[in-house]
Amino acid sequence: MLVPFVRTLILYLLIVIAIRLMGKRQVGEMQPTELVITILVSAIASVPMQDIDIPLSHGIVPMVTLIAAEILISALSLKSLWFRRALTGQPIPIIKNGEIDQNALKVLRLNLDDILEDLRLKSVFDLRIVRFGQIETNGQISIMLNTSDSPVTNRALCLSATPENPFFTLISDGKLCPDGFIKAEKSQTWAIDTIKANGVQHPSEVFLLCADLDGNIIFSKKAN
Amino acid sequence: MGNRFYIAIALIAIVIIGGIFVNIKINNVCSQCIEAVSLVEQSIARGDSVAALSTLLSAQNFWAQSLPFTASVITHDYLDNVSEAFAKACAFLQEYNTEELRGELTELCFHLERVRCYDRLTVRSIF
Repeated sequence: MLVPFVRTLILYLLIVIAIRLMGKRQVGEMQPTELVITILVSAIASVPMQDIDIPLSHGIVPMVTLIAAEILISALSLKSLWFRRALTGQPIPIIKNGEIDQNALKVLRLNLDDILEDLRLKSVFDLRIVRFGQIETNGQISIMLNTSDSPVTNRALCLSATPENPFFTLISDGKLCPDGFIKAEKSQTWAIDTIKANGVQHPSEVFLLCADLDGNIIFSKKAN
Repeated sequence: MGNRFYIAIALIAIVIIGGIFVNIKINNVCSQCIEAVSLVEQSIARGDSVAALSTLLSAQNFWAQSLPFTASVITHDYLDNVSEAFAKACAFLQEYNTEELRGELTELCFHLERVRCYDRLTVRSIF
């Protein structure tokens, strides 16, 4: 009982490190090779987890090798365009001026329902409003709408807008966040003064305090 | 990517160097045990069962000492077969059952050879 427990803990830690090394992409954003390797790593780890007659190294070595190979291949893809094309392929245009390219559908082995479903998920229910669409290397569809059907932007309306800065968390659930202070270029004294101005005496009473570079804040007091 | 690239290179180097080290170590353990078995056979041929038993027991002891290492890299079934063959050979030798003993020593050599070739990089082992 204890042996599988300890082995599982070791393998769990290794999987966490392995996934961390692979990067922060989500499943939907992964390239096919990354997805396959993620599935393989979990499958490899499960074998020595269950069978205590198999040495742990038989799970660790393939896992380490796969992750290392994945990182090396990613590095090679960054350096070489040819390698990147060979590994991940390239985007294939599938919609032009509201018309689906049937030959491209055959090449991609996609059916019409798949495309229409993806478009609906992007809130496109009328194919005619799509000026251009392509299947990306990770299998997702990206579209450009006709200018007349695109959302209105400040530039389209010839409006000038002042750029907004992002907010950074300074206090989260009563705890100070040092990174946030650096990013927002604020001091702890400033934060204390701000919360006092909002009727709170101590950071532990604050649920959320965010600030941007201009000193705008988002403040929320902890519920009693 | 920079750090990860070097980590990946380091991991692959560790696996390759570790693999070579493991191969050498296993080869060394198995070779010594096979050599001891050969000495046991020679002692039996001379009729010196006391020396044969002493050699076999020391070989068994040496094998047992190397088990924590070998068990971390080799499937336990392979190792259990060797340990079992050692135990049986010792028992036959203590009972002066030379017929059975010869068969068991052959079996022991076979299992030791399997362990020795376990992680050896050959066309057969890869495919």
